[in-house]
Amino acid sequence: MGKKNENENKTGGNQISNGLRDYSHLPRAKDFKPSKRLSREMQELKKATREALKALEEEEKKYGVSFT
Amino acid sequence: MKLPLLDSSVFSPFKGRIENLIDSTKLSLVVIYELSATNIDESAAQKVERWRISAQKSNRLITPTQADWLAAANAVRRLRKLRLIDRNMPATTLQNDALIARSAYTHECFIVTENIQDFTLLQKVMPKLEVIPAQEFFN
Repeated sequence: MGKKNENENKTGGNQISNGLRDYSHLPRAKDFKPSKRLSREMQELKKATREALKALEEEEKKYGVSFT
Repeated sequence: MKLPLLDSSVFSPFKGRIENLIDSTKLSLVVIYELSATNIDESAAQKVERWRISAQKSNRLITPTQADWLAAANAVRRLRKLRLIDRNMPATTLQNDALIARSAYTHECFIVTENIQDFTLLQKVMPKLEVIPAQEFFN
């Protein structure tokens, strides 16, 4: 059993000495490689995501309503 | 590896990056609610609905259960009790973020958000919750 990181806090993350949180243990977007072969469901999801985000962006431009 | 659960706040600033990431992420029904609730045009609402259906079909949609609602309420109650939020704040304050947070750690996910402050607050009463600022995650 390894020695527990002394800086480990109750959030499961690490807190560095200046009080800022350290996210180094979490993966980044670049760590997730897009699958070369997507299932039919995933292809549909990708297309639906693209269309929904585009529609939301157009609404934002048209009405000035932020969707976030 | 834990999967990212994208908060509503990232879809506008990082939309160009999200499409390629979609097979590695989960989607919360609470986020779909937040994005749908701002729709004015029927066509946009229909597209968001198609997105929800596709996410459900591909097992990417996380829908809060009764236990999730109760855990979220308890988290906000603890924040109030600890005076980490104003005791007079409405019951709906932090409701959606608490539901998204609870969904994240019960599904082995971590939150990616632009709204780091509210989720950092929730971490104080949800010890298993992991959160990363969107800027740090995407860059």
